[in-house]
Amino acid sequence: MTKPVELLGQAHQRLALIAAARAAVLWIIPALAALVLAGLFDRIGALTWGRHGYELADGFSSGLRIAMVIAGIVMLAAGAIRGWLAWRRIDFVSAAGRVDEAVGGHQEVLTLASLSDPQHPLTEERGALFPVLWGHVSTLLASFDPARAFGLELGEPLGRSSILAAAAIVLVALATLAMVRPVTPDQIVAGKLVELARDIGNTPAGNGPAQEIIAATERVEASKLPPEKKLQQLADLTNQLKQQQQQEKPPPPGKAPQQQSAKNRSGSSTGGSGTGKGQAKSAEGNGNGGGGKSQGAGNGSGSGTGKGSGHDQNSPQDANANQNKNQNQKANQQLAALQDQIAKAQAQIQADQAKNPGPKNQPGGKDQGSAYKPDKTGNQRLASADQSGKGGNKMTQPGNGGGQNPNGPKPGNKNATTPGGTQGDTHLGEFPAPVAYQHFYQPGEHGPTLSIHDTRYVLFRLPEAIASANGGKLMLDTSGPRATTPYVNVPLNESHPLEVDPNEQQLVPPRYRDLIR
Amino acid sequence: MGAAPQMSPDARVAEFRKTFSRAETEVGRVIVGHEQVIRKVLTALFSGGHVLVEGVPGLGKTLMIKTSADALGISFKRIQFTPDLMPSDIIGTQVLTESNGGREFSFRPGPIFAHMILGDEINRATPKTQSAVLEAMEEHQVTVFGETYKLDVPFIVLATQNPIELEGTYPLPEAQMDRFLFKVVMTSPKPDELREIMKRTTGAHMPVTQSIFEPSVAAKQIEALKTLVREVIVAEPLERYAIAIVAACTPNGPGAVPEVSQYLRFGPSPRGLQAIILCSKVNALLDGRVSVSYDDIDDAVVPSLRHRLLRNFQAEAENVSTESILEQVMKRVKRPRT
Repeated sequence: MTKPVELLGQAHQRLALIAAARAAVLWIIPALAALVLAGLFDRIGALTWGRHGYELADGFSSGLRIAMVIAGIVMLAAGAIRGWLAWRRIDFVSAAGRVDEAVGGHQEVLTLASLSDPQHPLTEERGALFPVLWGHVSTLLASFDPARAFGLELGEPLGRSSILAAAAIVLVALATLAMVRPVTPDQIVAGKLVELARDIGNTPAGNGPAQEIIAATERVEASKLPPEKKLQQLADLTNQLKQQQQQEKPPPPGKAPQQQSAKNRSGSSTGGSGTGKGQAKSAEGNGNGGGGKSQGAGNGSGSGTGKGSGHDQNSPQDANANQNKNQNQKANQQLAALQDQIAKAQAQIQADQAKNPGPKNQPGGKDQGSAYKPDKTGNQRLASADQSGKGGNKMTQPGNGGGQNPNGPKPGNKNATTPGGTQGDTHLGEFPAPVAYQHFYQPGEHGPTLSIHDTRYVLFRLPEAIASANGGKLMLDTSGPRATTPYVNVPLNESHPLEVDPNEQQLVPPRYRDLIR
Repeated sequence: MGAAPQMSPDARVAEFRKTFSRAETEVGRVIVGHEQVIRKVLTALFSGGHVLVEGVPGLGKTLMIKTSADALGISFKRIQFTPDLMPSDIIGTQVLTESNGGREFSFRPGPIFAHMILGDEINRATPKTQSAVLEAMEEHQVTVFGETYKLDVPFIVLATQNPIELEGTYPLPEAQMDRFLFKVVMTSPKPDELREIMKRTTGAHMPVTQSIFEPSVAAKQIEALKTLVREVIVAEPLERYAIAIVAACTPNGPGAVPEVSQYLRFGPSPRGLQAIILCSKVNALLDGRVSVSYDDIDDAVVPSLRHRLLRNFQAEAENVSTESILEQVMKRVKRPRT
């Protein structure tokens, strides 16, 4: 015997479920599309506009990604709410109405449901004919199966939802297209810097510096920052990396192993001792305009005592030591690569500045900030921010007190055994021996820390020809800027009438800096 | 049939269908065509309402009503309304009679005292006379010289109205039109119907209607069936649907459709809703159901409301009929979403 009310209850549950699913599905697809798009936005960008040398405007990528995530979450919530509302909207009587339509009951099922709703049974309104109605409905529902009569049928809402999702995707694509722009070379360098910094950050000791490098890179990458500020940032970054590299260098031979390293070792230990001695040779140099001699001498000695030189090949501590050694070696390689990239970035900034001198940098202009400013001779030099020339530039003067420059031998030190050669400090008639040292270390290469920073002369070799990018023809590049100051590698005569500031830094054409290897 | 209330509900429904069908068949023996008009007349009878029949002369209005009364076995009276007809000519009056050597007033019932009354050309009587009839229609009683007399049950007035020849007539006011449950319109017969009419009325043997009830119990049986009609169930969504239709016919009211606001001065009264529901219930029983459906309501709308809509000047000027307005209403009013 068919139980109409129970059957209608089952139909009610099924119809409510279907209604909730259909209502929720309308928002599910756009929500998922937004979330997936937000998650894969960088990869999509790398495969599309990134491949063709474009990038998104500052902050737009992250803003759009956040907006898409928020929109996705909001749409998910909207779908859930709509589903819940649709679930609630289907009541017992309305479900009976659907059943009535399905079985062709001429509203008999609906009438029975309105009088037999479990929530609101209207028993007093049933009347004498209610049994007849019950019998009719039982007959109608004898072969009724709610699951068979009411399929899920999500095709239509899925179609509408897909259209909505497609519209959202098109909208995002249009917005992205509007905000995409070509990548500047310094941004490429900045990106590489950030990547390297992140690699360094993966090492135990490199997390702190990596964060600082990233922050500095972001500051440098800011397009509104003046070029000299960018250069200053990069110089600071370089110094920081050098310090980092020095800190991570292994102790020199002869020095006692540190006490801490042997703390947990077992076995006999012998004390170690060592001495260090250094002597600064006299430095002598010529300074144009200033001219002076300085001499400095110093002695240094050091001794250290330690214990715990025992060594256990099989100990886990030793394995850790080896691992640390490998990590340090890797970190050194990364730091070297990072310095290389920073130098490239500096060169790029200078090149950009040379190509596009802003209105602030025009000769004779009212320069309120620091910029490269031509002096009387037409040479460019770094001008201080207040245009007085007194502050800001704190470069060490060549020949002005030896022993103060920690970065290597001083100019005029002939006895210096620097493998870098003469560092450009040559005298009249002496042609500097072109020592083929590499300033930009390749990953994995080691060598003494060299820097051409603050040096007076730089020896470089001009390329004979530059290969064309596409034509395959060899041709001289005459389109680039030409230096107005002779950059010959012949040292100037001491009595040369040229009035040059002894602090002048001969600038290497930036476009060639990258070629000096 | 006198034990109808003791019958099972199923049997009562079946008896109703059978009785109605037999009545239609018996009337159809005489009247050719006009099935819907006959059905509506019988529906009004079992609903306890009155019918205004409109049609040009010669369509068989009077014959149809008389035949219906004969088929049901109930009493029938015909009143020809004329301008000089007085109310006392309809409801009766006190007359001075002599009996037992004395004189006294005695009530002489008028033709209103019958089960089925045919008010022929009711629009030709004066409003005073019309109102006398309409009062009897509503109260089912008449009062003469301070005495109230109950009318027979069942009591149904079938008034005819000629839509042409309106000169010298008194069209029924809206308040009186509202008292008719239905207004049915008789149209001209089709050619094949005309042929059948010709055969039946000009042949040697005139068709004769047989009463389906014994005259002595006909009234009781009809009343029992009227009780059954009232027991038919109407679900709440269908009630809302009927109400929405009535509301949609009310100009400038909530839910009014644009055509209604444009062409109507007044809409139907609550009697219109009652008429729709009662007619729907009869329709449901005729379909073998004990609950009303949307189709039952749709079928009842036009005959129940067409005479309750008062058109404005624009509608009359543009010859917009109430039927066309109701058609627009039916299109616009949505059935409650189930």
